[in-house]
Amino acid sequence: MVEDNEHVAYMLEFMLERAGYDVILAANGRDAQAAVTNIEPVDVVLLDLMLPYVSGYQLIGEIRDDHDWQYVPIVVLSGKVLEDDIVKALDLGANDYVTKPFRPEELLARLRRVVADNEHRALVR
Amino acid sequence: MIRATFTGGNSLEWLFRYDFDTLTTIALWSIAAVLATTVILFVYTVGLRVATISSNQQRRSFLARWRDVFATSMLDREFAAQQTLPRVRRADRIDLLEEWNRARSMVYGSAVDNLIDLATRSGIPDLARRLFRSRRMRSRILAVQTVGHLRLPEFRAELGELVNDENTALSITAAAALVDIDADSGIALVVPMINRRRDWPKTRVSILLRQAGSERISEPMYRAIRSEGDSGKTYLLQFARLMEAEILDALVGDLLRESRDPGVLNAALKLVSGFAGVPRIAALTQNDAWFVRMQAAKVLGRVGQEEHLSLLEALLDDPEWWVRYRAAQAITTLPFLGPNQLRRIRLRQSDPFAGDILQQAFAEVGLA
Repeated sequence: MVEDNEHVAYMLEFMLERAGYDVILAANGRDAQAAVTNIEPVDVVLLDLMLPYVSGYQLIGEIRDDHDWQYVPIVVLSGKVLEDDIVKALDLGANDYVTKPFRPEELLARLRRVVADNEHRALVR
Repeated sequence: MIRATFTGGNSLEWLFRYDFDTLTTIALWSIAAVLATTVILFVYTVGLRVATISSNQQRRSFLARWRDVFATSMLDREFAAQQTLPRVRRADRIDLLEEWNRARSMVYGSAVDNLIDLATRSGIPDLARRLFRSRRMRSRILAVQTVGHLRLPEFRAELGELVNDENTALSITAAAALVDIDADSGIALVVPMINRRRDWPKTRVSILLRQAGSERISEPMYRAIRSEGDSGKTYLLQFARLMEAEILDALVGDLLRESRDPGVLNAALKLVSGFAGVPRIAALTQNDAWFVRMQAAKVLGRVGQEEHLSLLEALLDDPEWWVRYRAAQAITTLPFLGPNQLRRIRLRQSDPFAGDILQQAFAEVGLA
């Protein structure tokens, strides 16, 4: 999870852990870049777009260009609601886009779906 | 002259001897007083520090307990309605209110109902009612936000008055609270005020409109934009993207047909989707204001058809560099032109400025 707002991050982390996920939190774009470089690919990335140091858009591009991480599904969770922002994130390679404020159950369902889709695609690959 | 002798044993004994002269006695007592004060201040400072750390730790642990409760409640209605809640000390109430509002701002849908249930059980509505009358602005703003988040209809009339308050933070928070409590009547009251309250942060206005939903805001926004003067139209059009697409298209079409104001035309052109065509586009590419011509070129780059190519080519020798540049960029993005056709367009330009700017635009997209 890449989220710079401490309160949102805490709530999301709690919700995700309750839903059975092991959460690795990056509080800014630079930490997220380090995670992509240094750790094994994860099941799914939940990504904010407005981040310190490195934007969420840039991170999407870098994840898609990374040999190991390229197939990791990315769900954007952002306060940016304009059509252009959503289209840009999806064009760059995000798998799904959820706007803030969000419905917690819907977010969890979307995460489950992209993880399941990716597992299915991995079998085909 | 000092006649004191140090004999060992009690180290302070010399201080209480009376065979010093007056000045020495004063000096010695002053030193003793300074030392004692220093020790007392040191102990006091350490005590304060320990108390602050302990209080911060208590606060952090209190907030952590409640954050867990809020997060669980968002997902679990039964938990929100029945779970035994952590104790709230008097000193922690404001923290609790702030934390609840943060959690409430994060979500919508059924999670909001759960959070309101939880708030009701933890006494948040009573606290908000008390703070609503507070003289401290910070407390009042927090209370206004809370009554909105709790959707307490009893405050609607007072919030309606607070929307007109001179304090920007208080009035925009009251506007958001009104929309939270009753979106239809809130939007009907707030939208006509947006142009008058240009002190309201645009981001807050956008969030408020977005949360109300495009279906709800479209008609009031349409009416407000149509009824304002040119300056008001230009200002309100910044928020028009949040309207329903069909109504926005109709509004933009009307404005492009009717308005002669460069600011309005510029703002309207930015919103053209192209589904309903672009009225007066030929005239707009020749508008006296260079930024209208530039915006018209950008629009044609997005929605232009073959018959618009000549309009864009005519803009390639515009006196303003930005107009030439956007026209050249627009030509490169037209979907019906391939690389060879683009090269031919460049070759047929007699004006050297037109050829140069096309070359630059082609280079940007990797076309030699």
